[in-house]
Amino acid sequence: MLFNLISKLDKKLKFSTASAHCDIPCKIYDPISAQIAVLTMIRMVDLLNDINEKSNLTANDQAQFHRLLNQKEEHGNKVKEEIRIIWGDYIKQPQLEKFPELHALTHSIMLASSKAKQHIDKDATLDLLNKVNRFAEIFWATKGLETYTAVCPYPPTQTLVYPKLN
Amino acid sequence: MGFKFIRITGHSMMPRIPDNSYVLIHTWLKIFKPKPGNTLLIKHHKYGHIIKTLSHIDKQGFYWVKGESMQSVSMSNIGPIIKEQILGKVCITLSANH
Repeated sequence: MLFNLISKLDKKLKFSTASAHCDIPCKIYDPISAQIAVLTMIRMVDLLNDINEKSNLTANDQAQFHRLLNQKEEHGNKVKEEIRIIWGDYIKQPQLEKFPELHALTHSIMLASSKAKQHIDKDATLDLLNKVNRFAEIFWATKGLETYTAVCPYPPTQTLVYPKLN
Repeated sequence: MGFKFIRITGHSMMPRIPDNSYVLIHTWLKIFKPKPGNTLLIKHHKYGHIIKTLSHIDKQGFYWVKGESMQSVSMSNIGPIIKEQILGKVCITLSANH
């Protein structure tokens, strides 16, 4: 209650600030990188399935297939890395107390990302997106920001969680 | 009055002083001299206004301060602090969790 009162006073009076300075460029955390990496995986699966529907594959089709597969693999690793960094560097006891599901959710993202890498399976990538979106929702809640969902305006036109920044 | 509220940004004083919390500081440093364990507002030549915990005062009278989390910039990087750089002492911390 007192915090809220001081917070309101701060908005009116603009208190000066002091930094609890860190040695690394901390505080630059954003789950959007992980979300975009999952979208890339979904897009790769769509394009891989397009090639898969062809009866005869040319050398170019085969080269494209490998290229798409590599990108899916790479972005699966990126999802893991981005989520691990937020989990390992940003998430601490206060966030864990508010959101006790964070450890289990992070672990489930690691597993879901592996599954999405192992197969050309759209359901697996969509399941991964759901989990990463939930992670994003929690992340922004820890920042005191509300979120909304919207369909990204580019392929694979899936729903993402975005922060309300206004 | 010698009191003022300051908003804290950064994670180096976690978990005691989380990011975006407020501290009430007083500037009566001649009466209440800084002691090890006190949290101080410091004007640093490189980092600007920072908040750190006083570790010790050496024989030359320099103040050595540190953060409370693993992420904090190290005591040696902050370097020795002279008395004139100490602007205030934290007496109350208010965070969203309290």
